[in-house]
Amino acid sequence: MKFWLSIIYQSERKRLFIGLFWSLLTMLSGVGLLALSGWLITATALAGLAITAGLIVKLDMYMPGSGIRYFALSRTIGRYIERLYNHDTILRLIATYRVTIFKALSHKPLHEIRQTSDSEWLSRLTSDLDALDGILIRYTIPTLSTGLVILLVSAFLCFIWFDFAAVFFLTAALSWMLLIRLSISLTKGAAKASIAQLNSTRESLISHIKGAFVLSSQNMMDTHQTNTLDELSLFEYHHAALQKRIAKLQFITDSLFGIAQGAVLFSGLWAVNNQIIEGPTAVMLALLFIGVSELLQTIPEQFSTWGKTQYASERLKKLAVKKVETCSANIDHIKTITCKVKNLPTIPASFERKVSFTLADTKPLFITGRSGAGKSTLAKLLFKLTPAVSPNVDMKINKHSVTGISSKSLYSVCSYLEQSPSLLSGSLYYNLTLGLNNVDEQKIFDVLAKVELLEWADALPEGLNTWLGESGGQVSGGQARRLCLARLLLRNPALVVLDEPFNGLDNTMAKRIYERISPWLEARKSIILLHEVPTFVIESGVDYHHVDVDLK
Amino acid sequence: MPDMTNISGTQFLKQQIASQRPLLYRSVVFGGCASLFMIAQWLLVAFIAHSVLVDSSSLSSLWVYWLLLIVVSVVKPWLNFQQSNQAQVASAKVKRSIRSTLMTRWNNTSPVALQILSGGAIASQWIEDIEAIDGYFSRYWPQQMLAVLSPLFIIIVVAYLNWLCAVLLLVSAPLIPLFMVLVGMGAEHINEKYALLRQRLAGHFLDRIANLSTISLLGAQQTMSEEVATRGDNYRQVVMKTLKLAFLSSTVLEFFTSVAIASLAIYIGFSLYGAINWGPAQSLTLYSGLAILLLAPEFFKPLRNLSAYYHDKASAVGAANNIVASLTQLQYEEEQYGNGDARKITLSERDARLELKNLVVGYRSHLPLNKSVTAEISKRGLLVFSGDSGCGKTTLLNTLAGYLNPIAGEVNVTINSKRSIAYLPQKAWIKNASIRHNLAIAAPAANDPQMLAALEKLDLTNEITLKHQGLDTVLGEHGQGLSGGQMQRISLARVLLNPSQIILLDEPTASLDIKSKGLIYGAIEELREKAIIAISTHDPRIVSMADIHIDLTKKVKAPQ
Repeated sequence: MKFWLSIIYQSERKRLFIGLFWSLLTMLSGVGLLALSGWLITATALAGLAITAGLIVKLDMYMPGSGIRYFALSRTIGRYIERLYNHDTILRLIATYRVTIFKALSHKPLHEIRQTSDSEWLSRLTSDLDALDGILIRYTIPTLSTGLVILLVSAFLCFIWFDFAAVFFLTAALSWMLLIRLSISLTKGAAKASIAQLNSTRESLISHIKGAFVLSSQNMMDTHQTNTLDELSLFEYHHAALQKRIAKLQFITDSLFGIAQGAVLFSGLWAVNNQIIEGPTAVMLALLFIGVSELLQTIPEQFSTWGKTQYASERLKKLAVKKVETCSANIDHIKTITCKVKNLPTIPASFERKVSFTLADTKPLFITGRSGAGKSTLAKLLFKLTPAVSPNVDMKINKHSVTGISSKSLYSVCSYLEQSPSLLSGSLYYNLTLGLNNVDEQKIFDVLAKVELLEWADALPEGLNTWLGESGGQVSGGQARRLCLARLLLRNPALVVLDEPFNGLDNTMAKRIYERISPWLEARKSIILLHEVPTFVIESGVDYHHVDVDLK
Repeated sequence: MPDMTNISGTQFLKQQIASQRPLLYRSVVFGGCASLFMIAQWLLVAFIAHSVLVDSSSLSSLWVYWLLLIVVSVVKPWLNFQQSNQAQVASAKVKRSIRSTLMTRWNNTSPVALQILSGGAIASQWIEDIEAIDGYFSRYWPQQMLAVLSPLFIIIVVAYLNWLCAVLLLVSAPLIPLFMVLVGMGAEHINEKYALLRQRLAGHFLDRIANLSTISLLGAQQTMSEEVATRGDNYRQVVMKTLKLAFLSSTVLEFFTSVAIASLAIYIGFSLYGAINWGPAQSLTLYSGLAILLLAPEFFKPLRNLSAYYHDKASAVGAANNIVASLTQLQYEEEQYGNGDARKITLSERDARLELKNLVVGYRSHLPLNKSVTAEISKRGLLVFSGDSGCGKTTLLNTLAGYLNPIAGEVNVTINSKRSIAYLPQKAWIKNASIRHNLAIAAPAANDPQMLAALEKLDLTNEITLKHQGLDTVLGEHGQGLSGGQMQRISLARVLLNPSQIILLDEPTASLDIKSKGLIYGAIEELREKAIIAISTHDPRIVSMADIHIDLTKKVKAPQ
C-alpha cells in the first residue's frame, strides 16, 4: 500500500493537505459545537441560580451564542466542501493510478502481458482499482484529521487544566494508535481470506457453467455443483468470521469509550469539588471527550476494509511496477533474419532436428505444420511474445539477438498479424489507424478493397465512424481477421509475419486476397504461417522459401 | 420460491425480506433497545451533572447512578452488536438462498439457453451482484425502521422534559420524510449516472489493457496512455458536476442537525439564565437542559446513518435488477427452445436404443433447419449426420441430448440410467485443474494406470509427459499449453475411460491437425463397438465409417 500512498503524496500533495484542512475544520466544529453548548447551558444554569439567590452575576451570553452559531455553520459548510473536495481528489487519484498501471504494463515485455491478459485479474481490475480509494478516504484523511483533533483539543485543554490535558492526550493518542493497529491486525487476515475464497468460488462456478454441455446430458450438473458449493461455504465462513470480528471490536471499543466518558465526567466533577475548575468547564470537558471519542469510535469500521485494500493494492502493484527494458540494440532496417531452435518443448519437431531458417531476401517464407506443431511459437519468439529460452533458441535480426533488441524499434520495423484477431472498442477508422497519424481516407478504402471489405464498410450505418469492438459487435471472426490484415497493409514495415491469414476464408477468396496483397508482400520480407503451402501459391509459380515444422 | 421474473429489483428484494422477517425484526428490536439505553445513558449523565453542580451532592453519594452509567455504557454497545449480528445472519441466509435458487435454476436450464449468458456474466451475478445485496439486509433495512423508532423514543422523552423543545424538534420531524426523499433522490441520481459512466470508463480501460499487446505491436502505447488519462479526466469532470448537486441533500440534513443543536442550546441557555420567561422555560433545569442538548444530535443520527446506508440500497436494487433481468431473459430463451426435455426416455437394462422419428429440429419453431429425419440404431453402431454448416447438425445433436425440443417428430431413447448419454461439444470443456481431475469428472472410478492407458491410446502420454508433469499437469484457463487437438483428445479420453451407452460427438475433427484426426478416428472405431455413437461432421473420412449416414443439407419448408 506504501507504493500507492507515495503516489498520493507525490501527485496530489497540495490537495491532500487542503482536504485534510477541511476535514479537520468539520470535525473541530462538531466537537466545538457540542462542548460550547454544554458549557453555555451549565454556565447559564448556575448563573440563573445565583441570580435567583440574589447574587449579581455577569455572564456574557453573546460570545458563546455566536460561537455556537459559527460552529453550526462551519460544520455544515465544512462537511460539504470536504466531501466534494476529497471526492475530486480521489477521482484524480484513481485516474493517476490508472495511467500508472497502463504505462507500467505497456513497458512490460509482451510475453509477460500475454500471460496475464487472458486471465481473471482482468475481470477484477476494476474492483481492485475501486478498492484503492479507501487509501485516501478511509485511512488517510479521516485518520490524520482525528489525530490532529486530538492534538489541538489537548493543546486547548492545557490552558484549562494541565493535568487533565496530559492524561487526555495520552489516552486519546494511545487509543488512536491502538485502535488503528488492532482494527488492521484483527481484520486483515479474515478479509484477505474471504476475498481469495470469493475468487476461487468464482472460478469454480465459471468452470461449472462452462461444463453444462458436457454435464447436462449425463445428468451430472447436480453432482458437479458440490465443488462450487463447497467453495461457497468456505467463503461464507470467512466472511461471517470477518463480520463477527469487526462487530466484536466495535462492541469492545464502544463499551470502553462509554466507560471512559463516565470517568471523564467523574474527574471533571471531582475537580469542581476540589476547586480546580468551574462547573461549566467540567461539563464542557465531558462533552469534548464525547465528541472526540465519537470520532475515535469510527476507526474500527473505517479500517475493517484494510485487508481488502491491501489485497487489491498488492495485486495492482505487481502490475504497476515498471520494468526498464535492458535491451539496448535498436534496429531501423532488416538485412537478415536467422533462426535456430533446438529441443524446445513447444516445437516438438525441434527434438528431432534443428528447426532453422534464414531469410535475407523478399521472397515469401512459408512455415508450415499442423496445429500444435509450433508455428506460432516461432513467430512469438521473433516478436518477443514468448520468452526465449537460450541456448535452445537462437533468433537473430541483423546479427542482433532478438532478445537484445528494444521492443520499440523491433515493432517499428516488424509487423505481426496474430492468429486471433483483436479489435479495440472504437470506430473502424480508429482501429485501422491505431498508432498512425493522419491517414488519408482513400488509402483506407484501398486496403479495405484489398481484403474485400469495402462493400461491407460502405454499408455500415456510419461508414468509417462505425463503432466496433465489444459493444459494437457487428464484426464476424472472419471479418475481424481481414480488418487486422488491412490494418497492417496501411503500414510499411520491413518485415511482416502473417499467422494463418486465411483461416476461415474459402479457398477462392484466400487466393484473390493473396494476389492483391502480393505486391505489398514482395516489397518487404514476409513470413507466412500456414498448415500447408496453398495450392494457388504453388500453381502461380512464384519463388518462395518453405520450412516445415511437422514431426517427420 | 416465488416467481422471480418480470418484477422490479425492489420487489425482488421485498420477496427476500419475507423469508427472513423474524431475524430482521429481532435486529430492529435490539436496535430499538439500544436507543432506549442510549437515552438512559444521556439522562444519567445529565442527572449526575445536575446533582453535583446544582444540588451539590457528593460524588460518592451518587454511586448507584455511576454504577448504572457503567452498566448502560456496556449494555448499549452489546445491543448494537446483537443488532448487527442478527441482520448479518439474515443477510447471509438471504444470499445463500438466492445463490442456491440461481444455481438450481442454471443446473436445470438447457445448456443451449444457458449459452446466452456468458460464464463471466453468470459469475458476476452469482458473486458480485449477490454480495452487493448484503448491505440492504445487514444495514439498510433495519436502519430504515430504526430511523422512525429511535427519533420517536427521543421525542417522547424530550416532550416529558420540556414540551417546547420537543415542538422545536417536531417542527423538523415532518421534514424527515422530506429529507429521506431528498437524500434518496440525490443518492439514486448519483448512482444511476455514476453507474453508467463508470461502466464505460472501466470498459474502456479493460479493453485497452486486454489489447495491450496489439497496441504495443502497432507502436501506439504513447497515444493510448494519453487516451486513458483524458478519459479519466473527462469522467472526473462530469461526475463532479453531478456530485455538487447530489451532496447538497445530505448537507441539508447536516445543516438541520447543526441548527437544531445550536438553537436548542441557545434557547436552553437563555431560559436557564432567566432571559426567557414564557412557556415551559421556567421549568428547565440543568438536568433537563443538558439531557435535551445531548439527545438532540441523537434525534438526527439514525437519519444520517440511513442516508449513509442509502448507497447500500441503491446498489442492492441495481444488483437485483440485474438478477431479475437475466432470469427473465433466461425464461424467455427457454420458452423459445422448449422447456424441459421432450425426449421419451425409457430406463431399461435391455440394449440401448436411439430412435429418431420424423424429426425436425431448429432453434425457432418457424425456422426448421432440416427435412425430417427418421433413423433407428440399437446397442452399438455409428450414426453420422453431415451437411454444410448451418444445416442443423449441431442442433440435431442438441435435440438428441435433450437440450432442445424438436420442432416436429420425436426422439425415443432406451438407456440403463440417466447418466448414459455423453455429449462432447465441438469446443472441448477443459477444467482449470489437473489432467487427473479433468478425466475423473466423467470417470470417477478410473485409476492412474487406466487413465494413462487411455491417454496413451490417444497418443497424449508422450505429448504430455514430454512437456509437462503427466497426470498432475495443471491445465490452464484456455487449456494453456495444449492445442485444440490435444484438448479434444483429452475430452475423448474421458469417454474412453467410462463409455456411455450413447455418445454424441459434435464435429470431433474440425480444424484439427492430421495426427489428432487420425487418433480420433481410432477412438471412434473403438467406441462404436461398445456404444451408439452419433456424430455431426463434415469430415468425409468419418462419413465413410458410418453405419447410418444422414445428409441434412436439403432444407424444407416449415411443416404446416
